[in-house]
Amino acid sequence: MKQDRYPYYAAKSFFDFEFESLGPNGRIRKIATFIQINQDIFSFGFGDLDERTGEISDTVISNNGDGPKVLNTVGAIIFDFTAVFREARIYVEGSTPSRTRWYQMNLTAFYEEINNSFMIYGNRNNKWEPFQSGVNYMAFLGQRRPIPLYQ
Amino acid sequence: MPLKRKQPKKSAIAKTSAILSDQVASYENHPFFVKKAERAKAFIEAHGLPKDLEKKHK
Repeated sequence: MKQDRYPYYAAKSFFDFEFESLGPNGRIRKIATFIQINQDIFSFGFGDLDERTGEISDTVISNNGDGPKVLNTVGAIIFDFTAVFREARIYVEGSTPSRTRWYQMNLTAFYEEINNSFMIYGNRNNKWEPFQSGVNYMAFLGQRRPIPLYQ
Repeated sequence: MPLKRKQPKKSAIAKTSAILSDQVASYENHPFFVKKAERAKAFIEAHGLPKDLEKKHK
């Protein structure tokens, strides 16, 4: 995950993260949070913060011309969170089918790199299976691969 | 209601690229993330975990 990305800030809890997207539409605050829902299972959420209302949305299309950079930053946040909480299983689902599809397209684009560090599963027809490119999933679950004893 | 948060190890955080900041608020009770977590919990209760992960979970 060495691609171009924004600097990102973490709360001391290391569950809440923020960064700013900068582009033609100005400065947009991005928030990412992990919520523990079960033993070692965390729901990951990510969206734009409307500083006026305090609302967060992941359905707004910001058109700030920095989609790949934002995505790289989100990937780095997940990478760092799971480096600190190695046993964490991360559940990801978009708020809408199109958003879930967006996650899927990006998993596919970076699959080779992600697969080196993570086991990724997709849920299709109510069943989990190892993630495959080109398949439409309802949700995703990932966990860091164990560190090899001898490297 | 979210579970009590785990405590991160400072030594592990030091190896990451994240910048620790007191300015980052806690969003665990924000409706957007609470709703997401509730959906996630319901989904996992309904569909379980992938078999490989289930074995390690027990």
